[in-house]
Parts: sequence; C-alpha cells; structure tokens
Amino acid sequence: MAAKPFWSWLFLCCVTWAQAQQIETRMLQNGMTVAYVQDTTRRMTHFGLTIRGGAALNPPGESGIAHLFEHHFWSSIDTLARQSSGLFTEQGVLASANTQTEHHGFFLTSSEDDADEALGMMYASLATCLYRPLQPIIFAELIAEIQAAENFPAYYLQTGMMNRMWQTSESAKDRIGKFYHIRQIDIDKLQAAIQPYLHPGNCLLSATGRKESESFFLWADSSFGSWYPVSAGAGLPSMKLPKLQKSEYWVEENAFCDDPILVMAWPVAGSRDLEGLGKLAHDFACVARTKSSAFYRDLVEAGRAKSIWWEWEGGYNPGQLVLKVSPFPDSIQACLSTISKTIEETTRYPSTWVTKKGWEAAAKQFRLAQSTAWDHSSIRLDLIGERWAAGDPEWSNTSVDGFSTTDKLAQFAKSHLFQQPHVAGLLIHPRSAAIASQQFTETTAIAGLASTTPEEPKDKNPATMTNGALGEFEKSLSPMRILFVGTTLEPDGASMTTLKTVASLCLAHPDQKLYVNGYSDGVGDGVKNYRLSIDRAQAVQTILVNNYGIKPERLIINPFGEAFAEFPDNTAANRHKNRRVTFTFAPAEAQPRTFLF
Amino acid sequence: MPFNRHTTFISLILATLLLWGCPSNKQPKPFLSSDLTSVARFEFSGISVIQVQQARLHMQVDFLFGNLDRNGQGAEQILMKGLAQAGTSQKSPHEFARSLENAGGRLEALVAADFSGLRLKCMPEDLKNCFQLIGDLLLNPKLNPRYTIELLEEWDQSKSTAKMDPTFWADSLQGLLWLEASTATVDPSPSADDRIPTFTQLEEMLTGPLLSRCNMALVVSGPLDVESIGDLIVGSLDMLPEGDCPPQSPKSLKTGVVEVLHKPEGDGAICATWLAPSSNLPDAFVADAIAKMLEIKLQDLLVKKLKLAHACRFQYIPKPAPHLRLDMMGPQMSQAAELAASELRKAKNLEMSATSLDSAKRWLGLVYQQELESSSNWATTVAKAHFHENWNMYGNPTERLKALLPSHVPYVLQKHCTGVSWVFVGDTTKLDKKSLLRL
Repeated sequence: MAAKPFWSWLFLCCVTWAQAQQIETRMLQNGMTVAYVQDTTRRMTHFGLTIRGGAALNPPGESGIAHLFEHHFWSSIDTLARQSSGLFTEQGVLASANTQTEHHGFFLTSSEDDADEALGMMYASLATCLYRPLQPIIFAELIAEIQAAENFPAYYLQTGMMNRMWQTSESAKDRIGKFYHIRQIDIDKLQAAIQPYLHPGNCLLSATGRKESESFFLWADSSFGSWYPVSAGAGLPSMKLPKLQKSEYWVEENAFCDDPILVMAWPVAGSRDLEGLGKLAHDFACVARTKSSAFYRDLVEAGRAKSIWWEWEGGYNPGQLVLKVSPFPDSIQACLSTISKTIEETTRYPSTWVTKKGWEAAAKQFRLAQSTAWDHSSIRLDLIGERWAAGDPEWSNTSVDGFSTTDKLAQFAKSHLFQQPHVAGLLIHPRSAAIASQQFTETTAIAGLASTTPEEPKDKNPATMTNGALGEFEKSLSPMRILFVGTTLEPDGASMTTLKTVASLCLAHPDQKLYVNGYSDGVGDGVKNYRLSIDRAQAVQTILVNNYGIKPERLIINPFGEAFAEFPDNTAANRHKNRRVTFTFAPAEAQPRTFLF
Repeated sequence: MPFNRHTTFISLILATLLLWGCPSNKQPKPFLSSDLTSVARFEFSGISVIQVQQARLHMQVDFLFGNLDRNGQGAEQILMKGLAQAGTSQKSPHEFARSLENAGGRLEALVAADFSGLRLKCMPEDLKNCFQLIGDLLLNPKLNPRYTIELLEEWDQSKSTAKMDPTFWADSLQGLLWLEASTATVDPSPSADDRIPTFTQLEEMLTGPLLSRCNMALVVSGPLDVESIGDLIVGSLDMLPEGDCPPQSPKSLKTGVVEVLHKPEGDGAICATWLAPSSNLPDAFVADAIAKMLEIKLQDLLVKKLKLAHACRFQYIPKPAPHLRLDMMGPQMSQAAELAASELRKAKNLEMSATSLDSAKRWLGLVYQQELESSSNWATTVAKAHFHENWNMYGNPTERLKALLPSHVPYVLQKHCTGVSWVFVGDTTKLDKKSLLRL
C-alpha cells in the first residue's frame, strides 16, 4: 500500500522529534541557572523554580520550617479559589509545590497568553514571601496535610524508613513537620531560616513551552536577572553525603492499615550518586518487580503475599533500594523466609532468578515509564530540577541510558544486596498486631533481619573471636557438623561422636551459651524447610540435654531453613551435607525462642 | 514528446513520489483539527474508532457503561476494574499479567460516571502483541475470584459507611430527579445493602451486550494510520460479538420540584438540576463554562471561606438529557443552598463584571488545555465526547472562550437553564423552598 511508507515516515519523524527534545541551559549574570525545553505540541507554558535546601532549612531540633516555606511561597497570590489538585489563581495560573529532603520545587502552569504574568508571579512570590505576614490559613492547611499524611499507611511508613535509614539532624529528616514545632514559627524565624538559601546561585529556573529558547532566556533575564539577594549566599546548604543511622527493625500498629505492610531497605548511595549506582539499583528494582522474577513467583504466585514492589528511592533523597510486600496476615513468617531465600538466589545464582523475558520486559517497561513521564510537561520540570539539585553534572542531558545487563545487575546484587537490610519494618492493624509482632521478631533470623542474629558461621570475622581457652572452644566448634540419616531427624553415627565432643566442651565452659544452627537442603517448599531446620536443631538440643545434662537454656535454637547451603543442591550427597546442624557462640543475653509453626 | 525509457523512468519516479507523499484515500478526513493535532473518526468491523494524531502512542478501549447503570448496583464499575485483573480461559490472572508485561504493555481500568474503559499503554513496536492479548482478554475473560470478591467487599463497605458519608448521599439523590427509574442510581435508603452484585452476576455480565462491538469505541492516540489500526482490530476486537445495542431512550428530568428529607443533625447534601442547552448547540459551550466558573466560585465561598460545605461540584452533563447539576455536601446545607441560589441569581441577572469573567476565562482556558495535555488526557477527552456525542464542545475551546462575553452568561441561563429541581437532605426548618424555585 502506498500509504504505509508515508505514515511510517511520519511516525519515525514523530519518534525522532520526541527524542530530540533537548534541555538548553544558560547562566544569568547573578549566577542563577536557567533551563528550557522547547515543546511545540501544547499551548501551555510551565515554569519551575528549584531551590536547594528542602528539609535542610529546618533549624537543629526543630521541624516544619521547610514545609511552612513551601506553603507560604504562594501566599502572596490572591486566590480566586483552591482545588484539590492545586491552586488556581485569577491570573489563569495553576500553582503547585513540594518539599524534598534537600530541595524545594515550585511550579506554575499557564496558558501561553498568561505566561508573562506567570513568570512575573513566580518572581513576585519569591521576593515577597520573605516579608508577608504568616496567615492563619497557611498553618491550618499545613496541619491538615500532616493529618492527611498519617492516614496513608504506606506513605507514612515510607517516610519513616527514610528517617530511620539516614543520619541527618532530627529536623532535617522530618520533611512534613511536627505540630508542636510548627506552632512556634513566626515570620522572623522563617526569614532567618530561609534567607541564606534564597540566593540565585542556589536556584534553578526551568521552563517548557512553544517559545524559541533564546527568547525565553531573554525573558528569564528580564524577570530574574536583577535579583540580588540580601545575603551573599553564606550558609548555603552543605551538600555532604548522608551517613547511615544504626540498623533498626520495628513493628508498628496503624489503624488505617487494613493489610500488613512489610518494608525493608538497603542503602545504595547518597543523593549525589555520581558513580551510577542509582541507575543500577533502579534497573535492579525494575527487573525484581516483574512478574517473571523469583520474588513475584515465590511470594505472590505462591499465595504468600498480595503484592510486592521493589523500588529505587534516590535522586532527590539519599538513595536506598526498597522492597515493599503486602503479606497475607497468616503468611508474614513465610514471606520473610522466602525473601531471604530469594535474595540469596539473586546473588548466588544470577542466571535463574529472572528469565530472559523478564529482563526484556523490565527494559520495555522502563522505556515506557520514561516516555509517559516525559509526556507531562510539569513532571518533566520536576525531573530536571531533581537532577540539578542533586548536583548531577549530567543533569541537562536527556539521552536515555541503556538498560543494565543481567551480569551488571547480578554484580550489583552481590555487592549491595547480599547483606541484611539496614532497616525493616512491619506496619499492621492493631487487631493482628500481637501475633504479627511475635512472628516478626521470631523470624528475623531467617531473613537476616535482626541485629542480634549471628552471621553465617563460616563468614565470622576472626577479629571478633574470643581469646584463651574460650577461644579454643569456639575454634573447635567451628568445623563441627551434625549430619542426619537420610531425611530423618536422627544424627548419623559420626555425628553422635561429634555431639559427645560438643557436650564435653560445654561442660568445661558452663557459662557459655551456644546457638544451635539448623539447616535444610533446598528441595521443596521453603517454609517446610525452615520448619525442618528447626526440628533438626531441636533434635540435637534434645540429645545434648537428655544424654549429657546440658541445661536447655544454654542451647539457643537458631534455624536458617535452606539458606546458606554449603554445597550446590545438585546431588544426593551434597543435599545430605546441607542437611546439618552447626554450633556458634551466643551472647549471654540470648534467650530461647518460641516458634510459631 | 517521444515516449522513451527516460520518460517512462521519470513518470515512474513521479508516480512513486506521489503515492509516497499522499496518504491513502482510506485515511479519513479529520473532523476536528488545529495546528497542534487532529482528530478523525471511522468505523472498522462495526467498531467506532477515534484517531488522535499525536507523537506519542496511547490506546484506549472504551465501553459505554459507567456507574449510572441500570439497577444502581455499580456492577459495571466493579466488572471493569475486575477485567483489568482478570485472566482468560487459557491464562490464569498471573499468567495473563505476565504475558502482558513481557509484551511491554500496561493495562488499567478507567471508570468514569458515564463510560468505562481499559487503558493500554505500550511502546509502538509492542502494540501488535499487546493488542492480541487485550483481544483475548475481552473474548475469553475469566474473572479473578480473589480480586473481584475483594472489590465487592470494598463496595459493600463503602455502602455501609455511606450512611455517614455525604458524598454517597449526593450521588444517591440525583436518582430522585429523573422521571424514569431506569436511570436512577443508588437508593439513598441505608437499608439498600441487598443491591450489592454477586460474583456470579458479574460473571454473567461478561457474556451480555456490554462487551460487544456496538457498545465500544477504540481510541487511538498516536502516530498510526487506518491500515495499521485495522490490522490491530482484525483477529482481536473484531472477534467480539456485534451485539444488539438499542438506541438509548431519551430521559426526562423532573422540573420545578423540591424534594426534602429532614435531617436536623450532622452533614447533609443537596443535588440540584436545571435543564440546559443540547450539546449540539453553540450555547452548550457557554453552559459548560458557566458550570465550571460557578463551581470554582461556590467552592471558594462555601467550602473555603464560610465552611458551610465540605465539597461542591457543578457540571454541565449532556447525557442522557442535557442539564446542569449542582452537588453539595456538608454541615450547613440550608445556608449553602440559599447562597448557591443567590450566586446563580446574580449570574442570571447580569451581575458578572467583565473583570471577573476575564479572570475566570483565563483559568478556564488552562482547564481546557490541561484536558488535552498528554496522550492519555486526549484519549479520555475524546472518548467522553464520543459517548456524549458532544464534539461541538471540543472545537477550538480557547478561541471560543475568548469570544465569551459577560452578556452571554445571563442570556444562556435565562434562555436554556430553567426548570430547576432540588433534592435536599438537611435541616429543613431554616430552608425557604420558594426561594430555591425562583431560579
């Protein structure tokens, strides 16, 4: 057909056009950076003002300043009315804003006819927000927003994760603000906090519209070029890489949380990740959340969880890789076990945890998401502002990086994921909190979650080994393996001799507690294997107690299920060796555990 | 001129160039166009296709049903949400979701008050595969019991909590304003729990006329030609039953009625309707603009400043009969009703200044622009226009808005917007019914 080449050509033109949109940049004489994307497909103009600062504006020990600044920014605009999606003004402009950990974003959308006024309004808001009295309505809106945030358990939990993960000042972590801090803020306090940040060198003006770029730059210069700040930029936010908090695990009740939410996070890179770790983490998340990944297969398809979602949270916040799972209330334990097993699979067997199709699907979904996001002009400016605020030297480069190869992703998983998550939490409705809390605590060992969980015995750091006679005891325990007859719970002959040795060592050191580590092979269901590893450890404990008189409270059952296999599960002999019990020192405060299944 | 090899060659080149540069005569003529994009309509295998020429691709399969369903169960809404999570007779929901993901597609349900759709997003090169999968889903759907039952439970809960929820009241009330019970929505009585559809009923609906070609519109937003769209339909959507969709019977509004339910304490609700110009008339655009302007004004006055209401909605609705509809929910409905009536009276009596109309026009222009910003917004807008048969509203809205004069507002309100009816739930002791009917 003759029509086909023409339309194919048109299509190619459109695609090429869509990809050819570039970010053009200038720097004004006062040091302000300006960015522009020409887009001839719509009659609207969007403006963005990104200011480095964000929650870092909050003075030590206080919160709410940053968020109040966000709400106060547009207060110089007399509103005709407000809508839930934002703020419509009499000038035919839609305004919105957000506060991030380290930057603010202010956005205006107008029709082409009103773009002049919109840009003027942006400058006027910036100039007058410092001196305009704080209106009671602003406080009321802010408090309503804080209350609303608490009604979204997932959002609330996610904000909490960020706070628990990264070591910044108490106030800087809190992007939303606390009631009792907010009530104490007045205009002087707000001015003192934000003035040092309102410096042209600390701001990015961005825009997208049909205008030619050069005329936009002239336009920007006439509006913002004469802006010189009260202070000369002293006290600009120090952009240090954030440090990690102490590792933390918790269970929290939330009456808005109908279904349990389990979240765990691994730190990857700071918000100024210039080594591309964020990209790898992002691509890993894209692959891990496909329906072809082992996580989906073992958690959702296996009926343990309603949904799972891997996400890379970075760019505008310190970067972390987050796994959110919505387990069925009676499967929290099974989910933890499965996650542990699957993470191990991603690092040890990189070719099996996701199929080639799954990787291809992730790459396609990645391209689709990018295309969709870029289709919305306002989102486009937000993305540009984020990258600029994060100090990315490539912030104005729109070329799309390729999707990471499976080898690279496996390498990433090995270096960043093969460790316990740094923070993990479970949000649960009060009606099921008691049982879930117990489950969560007791099963942290298998997911490698709890800070008190012993590391896998053979990986133990020699520097932590005990010296003297006790040290000898510990050293001699390390290679001991109790193996079993077939798949039974009965130790074989050689292992009975080993047990006798263990017993004599225990009797010689009556104050030392031991972890009795149980393992299974990898055949069959992960949860059943976890149960088997408990049974094996308990069988060994029973022999030591009944045959040799060791006190049961000195022997702490510590099951690992099929995790930490010493040999590939490909032969019967190897599987036999993987079905084992080992011993490691337990701290004096270690207590016996109750297992729910 | 002698006929030789050179002239033959040149003729062939010219003919090729001509064919190359001209679209096929099958390409429909755009019936809405601007310098930014154009919209064309055609029919293929009994399916209405609406094509929006845009750089980026977006596909949407829409069906003419929404929550204004026949018996007020909201069953169609749940069905559509359930469809997006369903499997097929050959594939479990998990397998279907995985197949779609592997084919590079993303599927969402779109449920509006008056039509429902399945939204497909994918990159152009994945379109064929994705379309085959959607075709399979519509031809051989099998609802996912776990997900669908959860939806039904949620729906059930929303109905029981609706006793306290004013939004529910407002949605329920409009049913009282129509003459035909068939268009009524949910019974406002709190004891209407028996109207929850069952899973079996939903399954039965899959084989009914809802998912037939006559009840469907395919919206393609992106750089595709007729032939390519036809290729997609063949073997997928054209396998659906043609269906037997009778023309919709016209519905009539009650006029000059004030229905009152006394509720002395707590939140109340109001639903008011006026007859309005048909969407085929140019005045419909003015009526739509008036509704949008008054909505913002009443939100500012009643919700923001005086806090008499929690929410306020004012819309021009072209189907099943053109009307303006005002919904308000909140603690002080008597005063809110009086004030809303007063604002309308002002608009009707030429009290809108040129300045306030100008500012309203400016943000209204932005509202229209936003409706057409992205490919998906375009697709939703044209689907709505198709089902409402009010394309008249979407031709150059910005230019038409500029031409709107203060005198147009009272003219349209006085000429078309008559026959007000109110349904009121709240403290009736303070309510002056006559003042409401004076509009």
